[in-house]
Amino acid sequence: MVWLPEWAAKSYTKLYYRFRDGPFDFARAQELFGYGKAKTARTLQEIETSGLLHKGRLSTDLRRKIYHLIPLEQFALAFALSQESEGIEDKLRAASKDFQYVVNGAAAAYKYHGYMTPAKTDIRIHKKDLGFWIALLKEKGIQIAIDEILAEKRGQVIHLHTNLTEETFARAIQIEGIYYTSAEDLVLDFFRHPTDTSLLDALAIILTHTEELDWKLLAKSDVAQEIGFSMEALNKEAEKEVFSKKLVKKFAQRETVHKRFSISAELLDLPVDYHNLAKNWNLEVNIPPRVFQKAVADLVSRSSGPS
Amino acid sequence: MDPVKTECESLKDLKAILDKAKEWEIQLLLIGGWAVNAHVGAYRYTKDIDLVMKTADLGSLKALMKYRGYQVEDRRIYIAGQKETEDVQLKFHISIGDIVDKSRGMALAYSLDENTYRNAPLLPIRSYYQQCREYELVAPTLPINNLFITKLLPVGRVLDVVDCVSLILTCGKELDVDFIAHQAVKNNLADAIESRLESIARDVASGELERIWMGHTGQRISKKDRNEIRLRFLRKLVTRLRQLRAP
Repeated sequence: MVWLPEWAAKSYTKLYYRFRDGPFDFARAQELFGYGKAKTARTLQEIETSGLLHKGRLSTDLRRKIYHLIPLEQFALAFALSQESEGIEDKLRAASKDFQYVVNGAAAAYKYHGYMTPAKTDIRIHKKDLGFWIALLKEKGIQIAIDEILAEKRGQVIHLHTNLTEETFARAIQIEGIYYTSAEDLVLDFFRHPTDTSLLDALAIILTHTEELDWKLLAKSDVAQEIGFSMEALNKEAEKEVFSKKLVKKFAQRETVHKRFSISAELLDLPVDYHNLAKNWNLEVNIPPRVFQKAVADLVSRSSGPS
Repeated sequence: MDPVKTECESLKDLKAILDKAKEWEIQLLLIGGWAVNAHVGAYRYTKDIDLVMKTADLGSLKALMKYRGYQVEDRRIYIAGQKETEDVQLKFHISIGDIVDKSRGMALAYSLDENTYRNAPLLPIRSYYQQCREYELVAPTLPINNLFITKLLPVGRVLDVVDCVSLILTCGKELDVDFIAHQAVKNNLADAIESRLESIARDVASGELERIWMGHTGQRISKKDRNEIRLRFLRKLVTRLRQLRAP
């Protein structure tokens, strides 16, 4: 982040007076400046380099490139915090005092299980703080994705989700000064939207945090059947009681509805014992056993319970 | 389990094992997710470290792992080394001679020749956590073309598709279609690899790849990139495989 040169600052104020933090495209900026294409591009580039402008795409028409200005107050706060911090983790730590956010998804899961590195950092924030977060986190080599507008270039991606709620933040856990989605919320989220990797993330958390998790909360959830089935599948693959019968039983106490538990659109050919196990949980399962086998092979200690 | 400590200890142990292996004249190569990460910066990979060694070194390698405090289990196609402390669990999987995949319900074996070991690049292994930077190292890594073949063997794992795509997009020019096709035919892997390539091409055409890629990486995959993968690379490789197999 750098201060704008005076000539670019004048252009910023012109744009801000006209658009505030709303979207505008290149043609409208050019029209407002009254410059040629090259000079308009250079001006916008200069403002973007300073951290006062974010380039993205229109959510309703992804072919159209648009710009958003970062309000000066949010920029100033981000500038102040970035002066005393180096790297993403430092910046998040610094922002913890004044802003609400939670690190979510695979990056949060990695903080708990330390098993599978995350490909991007998902952060849930309040929509009103978006400008601040863009200004704070944007730096060389970092691509910012916002909600459904994804990063354009390859590199380290920070995905900002403007859907933070007070309830989620209240349940967040602060680890080394950074707010993370609680392990229970992550497990529930991964089971609600299972994919190949999110399920592995969920299994890794329940295997590595057996002692710390709030099992009552998980057992009362809308995905208790799926979690209960997965615990039994892990026991089966490990050929031992990784999770005690007493604990698994807690998940069977909730009234169940017949559900499909699947990570694939394609119908997989599963062993009969998996289908039988699923029937006990009133589930129609379409999860390849290799997901459970991988979790067991990598995370279950041969000598005792989960590592 | 402490993730930072686990990563620092994994890097420290990997370096110690590689150093000792060099001293004992055992050739080891990094394979799997850590190797993809070394070549192109993998998107997601597990903490367990995968290596491959020559069959002749099996006895010495087992001794080396035990010397480093690992419990060693010989599983015929690979040896599993595990070491546990109060808050850290380290695991190594070391393939013996061949890199074997069993995800199709049968064993597919890819044999590495002497040239592979000789030409293996020494690549920097980066840490995820800043606190582990001091333990970063350089490691002999499976060359990119051989690595690409190993990533085409398993089926059904989204992570392997992401790895293949990131190898094509980042190192497309280094991937040698002729070499990959010859190796596939030589190792009787041509059918398996061709079906895998066709499946990835279908995923590209149907938009499934874009969905997988976006979900994993938070990045868009441009039309140009999709064409690069499907039309230029996959089609070229399938054509070459068919030419080599033709009577």
